[in-house]
Amino acid sequence: MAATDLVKEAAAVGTDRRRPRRLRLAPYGFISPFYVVFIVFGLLPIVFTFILSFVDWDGIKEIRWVGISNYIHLFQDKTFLIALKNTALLILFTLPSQILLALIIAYILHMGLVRHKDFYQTLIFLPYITTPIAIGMLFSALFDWKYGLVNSVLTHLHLVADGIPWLQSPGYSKPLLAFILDWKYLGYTMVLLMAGMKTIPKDIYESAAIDGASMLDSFWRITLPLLKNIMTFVVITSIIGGFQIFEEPLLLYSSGASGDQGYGGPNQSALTIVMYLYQSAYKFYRWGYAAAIGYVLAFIILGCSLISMRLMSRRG
Amino acid sequence: MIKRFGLMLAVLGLSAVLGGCGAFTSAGPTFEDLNKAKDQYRGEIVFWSWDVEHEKNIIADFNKEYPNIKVKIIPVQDYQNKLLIALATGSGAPDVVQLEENSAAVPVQSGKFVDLSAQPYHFDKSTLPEFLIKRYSDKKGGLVGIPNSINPAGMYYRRDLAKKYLGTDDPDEVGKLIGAGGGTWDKFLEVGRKLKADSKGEISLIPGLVDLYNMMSKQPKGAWHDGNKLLIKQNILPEFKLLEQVRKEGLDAKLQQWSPSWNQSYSQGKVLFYPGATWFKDFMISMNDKDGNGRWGVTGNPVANWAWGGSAECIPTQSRHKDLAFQFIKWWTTSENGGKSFFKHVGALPFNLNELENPVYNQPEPVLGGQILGKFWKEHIPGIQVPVQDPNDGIATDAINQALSKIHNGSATAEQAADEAVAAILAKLPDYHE
Repeated sequence: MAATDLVKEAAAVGTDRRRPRRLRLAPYGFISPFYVVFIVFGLLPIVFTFILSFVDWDGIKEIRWVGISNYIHLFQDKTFLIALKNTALLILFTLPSQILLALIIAYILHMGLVRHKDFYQTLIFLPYITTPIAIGMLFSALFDWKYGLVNSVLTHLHLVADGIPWLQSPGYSKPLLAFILDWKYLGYTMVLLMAGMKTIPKDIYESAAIDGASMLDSFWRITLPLLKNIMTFVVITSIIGGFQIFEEPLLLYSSGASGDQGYGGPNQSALTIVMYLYQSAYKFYRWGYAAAIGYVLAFIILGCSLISMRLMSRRG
Repeated sequence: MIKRFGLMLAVLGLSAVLGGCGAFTSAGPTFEDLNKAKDQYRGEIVFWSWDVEHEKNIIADFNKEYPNIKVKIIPVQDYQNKLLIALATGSGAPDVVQLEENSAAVPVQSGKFVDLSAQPYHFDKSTLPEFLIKRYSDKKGGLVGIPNSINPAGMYYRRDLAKKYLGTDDPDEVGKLIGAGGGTWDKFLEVGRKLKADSKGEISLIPGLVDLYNMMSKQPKGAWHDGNKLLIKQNILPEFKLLEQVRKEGLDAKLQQWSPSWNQSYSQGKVLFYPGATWFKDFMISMNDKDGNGRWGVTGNPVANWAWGGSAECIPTQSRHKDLAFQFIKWWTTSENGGKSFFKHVGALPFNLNELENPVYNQPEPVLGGQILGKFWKEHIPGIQVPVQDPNDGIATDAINQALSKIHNGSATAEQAADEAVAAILAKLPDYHE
């Protein structure tokens, strides 16, 4: 049978109107679970949230259409602008340091420059799988100004006379959060970069070594350029994750309903966009306003991701 | 086409029938339904609770009298939001839900709960203190929840420190020294100054500023608004000034409420007074100072009496077992056995003031050095006027807390902090005015 006949037969099977209806519909049934789940839990919330961003609603009372006033109000809202600035600063603090550290550690582990590689890999990855509530409690206890371990060590070493108000002073909140975020996500970034390094063929390194390339030369001229794709992925996912920072600052500075820090840490210096979104929806019951924050956040993430993709492809 | 039209009609018809069924089954019970013999009530109700650990014991006691009502207790985390979704969508709410003081305002005003003061339930509102009636009344004046307890508050103190620095650990004497019921904070601050001087700054009057602010916000002049008029400058600014003074004079221990060091401070003996409600004895003092039996006392309040916390039991209108739900609530909140059970398992006092004379509530309390509490608390209930919770409390409280944090870390004066609080509230609630 010629190949063209086979194609014709296959096409005929696909469009056979004489086959029973249930058999023709069966394939749709098989692929439907994904679409049903996607429509119910993905598409509908996206559309509903978009509609919600144009209304005033507390979840109970009658929905009131307010047009784009939620969006207008958002850009005049000092708290939102503080949250936006805080989030951007946290990304700027954490992204380069995290990638640089992860790159160095991944290279050292990948090239087998230390013994017990698996042990170090697990150790560095552990914070990533630690629950945020434990992280919040751990760091609140460590940096407590009166009984925290950090201040105890500092005062015992006579480096400071009185405890440093780590969690009370707005000046310390961002460096502290950046440290926690780096500590938590370093392992994850490292694993991604190590996976990227594993895809680079060993013979390239061997050829380079024969040509007299040093370890550093190999890193700059082989590892780094060939990691471009995975690096783009890491940068973009880190930016997306960075704009969604929520649990760490929330739990670090949560001290009950009437904590003297207020929501978002001292002088709101640790308030992030998602924290403000959460507060608007679940504490202030301004569902429409929270939906508008969600959409603005999505567009900010989209814009930043596109810019970083463009920049990284240019450098390539 | 005709077939499809027929199918649509069938679906619509079925929906109408099912909808009708729902309406029928969720309709209210009759007077007779609520006045049967206890063992005649039969069925299962769902109860959302945030304190399953203790309340399952109360249900066990309830079942001794109502053996045929099964109460399915469901621990609900973040129940406030889940409840709002269930109320808004019209399905999924339990038969009984517990509304806590801080999260009651929005649900109470939702119009989605049964008025328990109306027929056929006819709960007698006059048995409740005024502030609890206001807290759980909707805009139409209907009472949508019956409080399971009353939670008056006082000044808990360390007896060892009181004896050493004030010369007495007797609750009445200590109360006199701090000006309990005296209308001002002057004597209290005086005690703080003496304490600081005599202990060379080692012992503090209170743990932190929020402990004091929390107390002031629940006293009669603690309201941040009256209708749409903001009372920040009238009510909150004087409080901010007092807190600023406390901080400037170094009378507090700079502890952040609920923080690990705040919890540890109970057993460390560096702070004299802890303002707290009835539940502080079991949930704060006994938990944080495990060897503290006899080391503590409680006395009255400077300025005015206040209350803190407490919940009410409510029946959503969508409940299909309102008769059973009401029996459960009635037993828990108004019967002698229900009150005793709640006291035994949670340490909470019934709102019926006459009951507080009952010997059950007047046994010597080991943690508090043998103090008799029922009568003490009864004396500290008159005059309680906790400001009524409001759906916009979240916004106002956040603005006030932000301002407070600036006084706390010294980045704003009391006046600046009050101005910022006003600006922050008006930015989110433009219908309000000064």
